[in-house]
Amino acid sequence: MMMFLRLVIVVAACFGLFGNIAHAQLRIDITEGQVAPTPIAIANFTGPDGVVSEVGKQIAQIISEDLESSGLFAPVDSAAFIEPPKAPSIRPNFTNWSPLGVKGLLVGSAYVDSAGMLQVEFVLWDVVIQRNITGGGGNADQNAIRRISHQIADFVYEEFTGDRGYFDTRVVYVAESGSQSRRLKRLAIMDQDGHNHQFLTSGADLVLTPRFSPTANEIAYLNYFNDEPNVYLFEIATGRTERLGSFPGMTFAPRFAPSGDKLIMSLAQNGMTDIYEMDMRTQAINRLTQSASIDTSPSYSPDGSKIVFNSDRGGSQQLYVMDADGANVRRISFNQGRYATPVWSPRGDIIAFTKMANGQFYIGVMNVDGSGERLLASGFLVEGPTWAPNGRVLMYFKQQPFETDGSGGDTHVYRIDITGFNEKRIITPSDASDPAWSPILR
Amino acid sequence: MDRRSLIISVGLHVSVATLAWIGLPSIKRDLPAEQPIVVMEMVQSVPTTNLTQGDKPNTAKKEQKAVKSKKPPPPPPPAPPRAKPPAPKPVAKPVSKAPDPKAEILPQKITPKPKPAIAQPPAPPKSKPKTTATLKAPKRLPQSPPKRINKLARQKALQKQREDALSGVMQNLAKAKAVSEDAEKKRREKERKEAAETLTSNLTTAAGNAIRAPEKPVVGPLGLSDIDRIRQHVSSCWSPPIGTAGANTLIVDIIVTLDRDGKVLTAEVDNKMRLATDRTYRVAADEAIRTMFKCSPLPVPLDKYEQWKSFIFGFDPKFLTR
Repeated sequence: MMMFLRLVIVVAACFGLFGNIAHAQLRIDITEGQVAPTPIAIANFTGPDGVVSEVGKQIAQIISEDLESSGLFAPVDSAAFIEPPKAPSIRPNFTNWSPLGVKGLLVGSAYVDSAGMLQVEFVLWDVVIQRNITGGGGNADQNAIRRISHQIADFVYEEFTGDRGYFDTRVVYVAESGSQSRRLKRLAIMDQDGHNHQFLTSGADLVLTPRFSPTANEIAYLNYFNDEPNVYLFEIATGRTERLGSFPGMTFAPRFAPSGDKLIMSLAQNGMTDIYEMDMRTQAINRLTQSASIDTSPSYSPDGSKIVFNSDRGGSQQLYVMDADGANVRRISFNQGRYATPVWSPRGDIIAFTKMANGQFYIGVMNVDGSGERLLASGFLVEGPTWAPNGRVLMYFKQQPFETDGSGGDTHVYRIDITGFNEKRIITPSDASDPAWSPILR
Repeated sequence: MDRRSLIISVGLHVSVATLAWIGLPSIKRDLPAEQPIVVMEMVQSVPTTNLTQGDKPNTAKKEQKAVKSKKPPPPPPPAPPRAKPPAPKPVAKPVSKAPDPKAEILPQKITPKPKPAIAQPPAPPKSKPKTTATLKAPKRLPQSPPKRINKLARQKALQKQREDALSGVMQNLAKAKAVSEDAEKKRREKERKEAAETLTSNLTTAAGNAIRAPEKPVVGPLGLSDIDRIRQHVSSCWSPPIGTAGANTLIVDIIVTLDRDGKVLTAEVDNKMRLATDRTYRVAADEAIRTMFKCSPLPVPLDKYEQWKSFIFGFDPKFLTR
């Protein structure tokens, strides 16, 4: 009797679970992979006649350099191509590309039309799945070859990484020259790869800490005019300079709010340095911190709801986070050493900073709650991190020590992937410091 | 009254359930998919190949069939052996005490007479190669009639002098018959219990495995070495989304079907909803699909096609954020 009952229960249980059995499928979890650049083929862009054009070569070259510089792509030498494509509209013969081991193939056309405009078209193919991933086209002024190439590179980058590209961006920095005692510092701007370099100020005044506005049309910076440091605004299109506000005491460390309608900065008054925000229209200021310590280097979170800054209120220079109105201040850095120049990632997930410990400088990142600190770069003097607009790459500067005679002190701008790999120096005409990465250009 | 109705009810339910188990084509079709679950348990506890475990479910089903055929009439026991001879397994199993063997053993248990019964079958087959009816008959007959005939013949030869003895013999025969019937009853009861126990244990195993299945994914009837080989092969082709925000949540499940050579026929993303709405996930999914085709063919054991013809590969980049 009991056996029958048991049988019935078991049978019922079986039937109740048949659904699961029927759908059971062998599962294998892949929890390791190969961290290597994505192999990709960038074909020279062709003209309307299917022959490679000079401008097409340049575009392919710029795209290749962009992708390779990211450290995430490995463009294959075009000499290895079995059958170079003739036009983006023609479906490639994938059997000619698979042996190269590439995952993507970029095919395009580029030529200057009768009106003198550069006409560009491109298609990105997935060689493994054998389908096109994305494509596009457009026209531009002939001297916009680099920019249109950067934009195509951004498309490719986005399709393979999931993040927006950062190639069509600019960097403003402080160009330095001269000996230690007579150092000339002026504002300069360039593409993120160092091209299209241009000086913005003459060098008559000492300039520091330039920061882009969210539209990338203006730059806020610290200018020592008549030996008095104050925050100025530089309009890129016109070259016009304007002092922001007129306060007793000095202002420094400016940074725009994500909305662009406010600027946050430090104001030193009566021996106290606190953080203030300024309305860009009315230039009215609002004090956010009130302590006897030095509060500086404020940076907004991407949504504008929080501010990270550094302060010595706890006895040593550490990082703090507060609400945008100055409430709920809490310390987030607790490891050994001093922390400075925090910058909130455009993604919002991490904060970059400069750290001083054991006689060395470091560039590092930590989670917004202070956990997960990782040091990415180090040196005699490494400082001033700035984020690429996609939050994947950091730029900063490194300075070598000066010699006793005042020479030396080589200062250069570098960038590094947030994984800590692929550190690359950006080539500039002179020494360079204090870089600030622009948002994506529009 | 209640008890009787309960028994009837239970009996009917069991018969319906059993019929459904065996008879429903959809269930039959899905049985192979059930195997991985059983094996999964084996792989965790025993670091050896799971082939043996993979065989078990099959035998269980055969056993169930055998049990059913046995139950109704006692004679069937001889029949299964005839039907099974072509399959080598039943012959091997008796050694290990599987239910099937019992069907063959039963006649032997009753009396030593099975011997003649076994001896007889070989002869008929020569003249009539197949008829199972003829095979059954010889076994049945020898059980009692021969005894009675022999005894009576002996009694006639000893005449009346042994009348008393005759009656004694008759009594003995009656006793023997009673004992024989008693033994037969016990045998049937025992057989029924054993069959029920076997069925219960099989069903318990199936139910247990079914319950465990959702908790423990991974692994099918393939051995650990098979799984590891496939995993390593696919890992070598995969470029995880390094540096991507929220990489620890970009777990992509790809449903892959293979041909008999291990070549990837199709690779589809399981979570189509997220695929359509999350750009970063789409890129991660594209890479996972590329990985599958790039890695094709997979190093799968060709003799286990039924077990690996369809896989789920879970691409989990959490290790990047550790």
